[in-house]
Amino acid sequence: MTAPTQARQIHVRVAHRDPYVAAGIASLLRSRADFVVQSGLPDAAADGDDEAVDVLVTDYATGVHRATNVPSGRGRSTPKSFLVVTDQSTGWQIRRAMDAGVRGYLLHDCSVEELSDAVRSVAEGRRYLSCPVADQLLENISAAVPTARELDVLHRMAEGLPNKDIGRRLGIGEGTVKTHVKAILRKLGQPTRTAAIGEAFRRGLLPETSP
Amino acid sequence: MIDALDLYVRVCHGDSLVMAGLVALIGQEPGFHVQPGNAPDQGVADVVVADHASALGLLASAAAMDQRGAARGFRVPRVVVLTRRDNEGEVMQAIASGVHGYLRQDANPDELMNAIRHVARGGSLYLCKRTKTLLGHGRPRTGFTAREEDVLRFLVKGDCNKGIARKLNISANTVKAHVSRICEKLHVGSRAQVAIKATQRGLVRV
Repeated sequence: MTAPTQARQIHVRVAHRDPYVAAGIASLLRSRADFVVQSGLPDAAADGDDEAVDVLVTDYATGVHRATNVPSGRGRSTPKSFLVVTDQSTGWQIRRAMDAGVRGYLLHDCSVEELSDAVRSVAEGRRYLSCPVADQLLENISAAVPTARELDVLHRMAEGLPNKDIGRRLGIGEGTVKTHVKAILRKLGQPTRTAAIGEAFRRGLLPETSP
Repeated sequence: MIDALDLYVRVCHGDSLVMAGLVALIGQEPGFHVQPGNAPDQGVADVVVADHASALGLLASAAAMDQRGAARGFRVPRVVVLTRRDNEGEVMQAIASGVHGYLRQDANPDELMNAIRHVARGGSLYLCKRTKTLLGHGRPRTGFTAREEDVLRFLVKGDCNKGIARKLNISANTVKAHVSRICEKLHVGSRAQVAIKATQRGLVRV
């Protein structure tokens, strides 16, 4: 239906939980000639002759969920390339999204140019990370990773439990807990347990719970 | 008196995506005239929609201008905050600085438009549902004394009582007493929990 233009048009669908971010992305992309923009999630319309979508621009949760559960087959109307725009900026969150198959990752404060570059890259099958995202990811890769057991201990530490109680909960001796705590402090580069908990939250090792 | 049909809204938001979204959404509303702009004294607007930081900056510079040029009929802008983060500390800070509305970004656009109208009409402070619940939990406001705040700041950084005592030039026992009061006020049993709760509720600036 669309008239052929000099450059190939990219079909973008914008479905973001934040209505303001969604409206902003849609309006910025519409101002560029090479994007055809649709809003809302595809299954809301559920019509088969939905135009082919090259890129789905979405929020973190939707992006990770959809990238993990890409339905097989079902024509070209189901987007298979995901660009996430989010404020989830810790290294672990970025890694989780990449592992799930998200191909583009931007933060909310990205510029208009970054946004359109990212959409183009992802549409062409390449990956796109904005600079702060790439920074976080590299830092995460080079950081010492706590073992699964150390993470167990870290979670209990964040509940405010003393070593003795952590040992009892995990069925290990207090001395063992102490060793784990020492390793955690070393890996997080912090001198005390309170400081280590703060750093763990910043790095995204502990889930943000609502108070 | 503001004509219900014509309302001038200025938008300043640090995120260019949200900025574009606000311009698009507010522009669609009949009778709303929208103008993007981050400079503090750009034109006359009935209402300014801003993110937390811009709102505080705007009100601070407006307050300074008000003191200097009150004679020229300078009007302090009516500001509605639209923000993604809303911890208790930030909301209280914004209200104390004189914002007229505080909404989380998960409030739907219709609610924002109503808030803008309400604030333009000169209505009282507008809070979105989430923010109201946040402030009105039924729990008394956590009021710390200035000294408790000092202690809390160092505690969150991970200092031990002795270290805090040295920095504040008081005895370790006094610090201990402050820490127990802080634990009581936050209803928690350990300093690690104090640090987590205080950070998440935005009660300390780290």
